[in-house]
Amino acid sequence: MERELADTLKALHSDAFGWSLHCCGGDSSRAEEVLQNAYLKIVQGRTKHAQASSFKTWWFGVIRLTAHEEFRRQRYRESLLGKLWLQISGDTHDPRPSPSRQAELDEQILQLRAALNQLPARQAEVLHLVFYQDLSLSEAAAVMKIGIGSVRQHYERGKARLRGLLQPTATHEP
Amino acid sequence: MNPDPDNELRAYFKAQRSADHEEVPVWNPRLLELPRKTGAVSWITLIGLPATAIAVMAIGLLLFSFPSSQARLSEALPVLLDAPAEPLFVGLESSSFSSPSDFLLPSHLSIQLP
Repeated sequence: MERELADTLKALHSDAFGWSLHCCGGDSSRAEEVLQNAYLKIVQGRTKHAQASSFKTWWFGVIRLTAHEEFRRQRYRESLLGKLWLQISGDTHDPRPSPSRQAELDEQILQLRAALNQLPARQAEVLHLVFYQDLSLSEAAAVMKIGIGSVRQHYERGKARLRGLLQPTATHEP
Repeated sequence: MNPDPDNELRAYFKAQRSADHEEVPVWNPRLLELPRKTGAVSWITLIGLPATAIAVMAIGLLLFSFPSSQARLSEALPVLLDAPAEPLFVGLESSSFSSPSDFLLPSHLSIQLP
């Protein structure tokens, strides 16, 4: 592993975890697993930065793809047989944070998470990349592997809808 | 002067970012120093698969190189029923056997029993 690459990954570690957390719907244990698998891809040489885009957008694309792979794997596990087994064993996985953890989280954060969960995935992704990760729309387009026009559309619609979702709870508060 | 309408959203995301950063797993450089497994896979691919292919071809050649030693089917099959030594209808007497409908049979179809 090149020293420079390791340093870059280390610098992006926190943001990468935040992005992974978003891709996993706020499930931190799954986000950790996804991030670890993404690191493994680099270590094993299964993916390489092609210099066509910035390192951060490429790396976030890798994490996003890994999260999607993990999601598909998870869906396979939760097939009919898997569901049957879960019903028998009574072992169900709840991605939401535990009540104690939830109490720790600020109400504002919970509001945002709940609102983002109600948005279409693309809209939530672009809002996270722009507002949370501070990426430009073209960088978000590179991460999401879609055109800049589509990203702009998702961004505008997502913003309007998110404001609407956050507004009612804010007005009811004293 | 109107404030940026996105500022409110930025504040929400900033708060989430701060909260998320508190639960970021500790950076572990060993994550990036795992031994490469690609060597083992390539060893299997480079040696295992051709060896298997050669073995299959050798078995095939051995099977086809032997001359066909199979006898004819009729000779190879065991004799299930021996030909009876005595006449088949030993109890029937040809002279005494007659049927009322014998007259309906054409003369060339009349069966002569031994």
